Amino acid sequence: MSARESDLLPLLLGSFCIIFQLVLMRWVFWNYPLHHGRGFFLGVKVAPSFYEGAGAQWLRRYRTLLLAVHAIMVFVFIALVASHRWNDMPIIALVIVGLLSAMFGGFTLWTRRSLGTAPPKLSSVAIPFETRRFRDYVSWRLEGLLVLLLAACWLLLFFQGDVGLQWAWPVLITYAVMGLLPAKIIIVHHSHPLPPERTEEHHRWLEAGRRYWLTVTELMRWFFVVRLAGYSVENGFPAAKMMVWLHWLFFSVYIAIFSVMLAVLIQGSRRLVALGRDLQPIGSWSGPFGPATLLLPGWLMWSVVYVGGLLLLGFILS
Amino acid sequence: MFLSVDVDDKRPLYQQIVDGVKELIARGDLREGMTLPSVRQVAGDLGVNLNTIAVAYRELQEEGFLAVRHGAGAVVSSRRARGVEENALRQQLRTPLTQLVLAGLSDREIAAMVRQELELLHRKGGSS
Repeated sequence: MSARESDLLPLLLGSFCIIFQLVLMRWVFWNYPLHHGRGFFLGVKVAPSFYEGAGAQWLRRYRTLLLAVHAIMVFVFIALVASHRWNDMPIIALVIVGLLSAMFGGFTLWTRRSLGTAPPKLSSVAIPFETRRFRDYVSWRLEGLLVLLLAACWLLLFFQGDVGLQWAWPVLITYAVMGLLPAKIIIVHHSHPLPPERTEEHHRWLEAGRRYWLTVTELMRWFFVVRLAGYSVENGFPAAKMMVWLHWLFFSVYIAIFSVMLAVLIQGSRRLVALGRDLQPIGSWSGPFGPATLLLPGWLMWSVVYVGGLLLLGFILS
Repeated sequence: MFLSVDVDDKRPLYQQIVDGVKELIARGDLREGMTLPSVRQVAGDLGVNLNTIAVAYRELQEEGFLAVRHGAGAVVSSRRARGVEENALRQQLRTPLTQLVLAGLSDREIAAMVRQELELLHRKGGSS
């Protein structure tokens, strides 16, 4: 494969990531504060006239911040492409993810502090009285296949890898894949007492959200695994580097998974918005035995450890 | 199917859970052989202590509604309470009937009310 062709793959992959992120921004994040109707802003209950006054300014602030983060992302991508620094792409991608997470977390906390009146306290709550086991939400066969593929990639790299192999990639990808497993466990086990009114609808929305995030997480894991498989084959078999069709085959699989992920994200997000329209966001009330928890403590802790770990590993190994 | 609790209710929380599960069994939402959510799940979802739910499950087990199977958790074992005699049931019925009589309701009104409640119980079971 020529130098020009070897540049083309990361360029296309990077471009696809940028398009993906921009589509995500437009379809998922742009109207995110309004997902529960105009009676809420980022889960905080607001007055009906809120968006005719201060609300418009809050929405503008939110969107400006969103645009700023994405503008930085596009600018950095162009700079990387211009300087042909392909190896820095994964690290920069992680920095962007960290930046986006910090932006969302920070802005949500700020909103809560500035707008948040005391959340309504319910004296009566309901819980779905059905078994909710992890095995009902995951396929152990797929989990096993994923671990087997990871192990096969590592064995291939360990025994057949080039001398100058960059171990940062396999370490980072394995961490990224396995680190998403606790996220799935948190998603399945998290719940919140439901209000006595429109209990069924709140439950349907909570369950749809749970399944949506599990699907997105699973697709992300498979994308990472396929990327590692491609890297392992390229570095495990010297002849594979010459096989242009093999590179394109892997690239097609990345694109396919990405496209499915994109479709799931957009469709799922629209469905969730439709289901959650006019419903109180889960966790925006405090129950009789616990406070309101819009930002789940377990999820928050996992995000910090996961993204922090990725960044740390990225910097150590780069 | 949902289980509701209310802090303004005079009954203790564990009793509300016991009564709630019995109602689900009576309605037919929970049928014999069905697995109940684990103590940990119910406690986590409600945000209460594990012991509260464990006490409720134990009471249901003692009354013969639940059986705890190793590895399978708690399952509904019967739709009938164990060892409850007719006299005891009549005694339990007498208290609310007395209250209704004292509230000034006629026998006909009380009978209609009981019938309506029974219909409601069966309808809820059939619709879920």
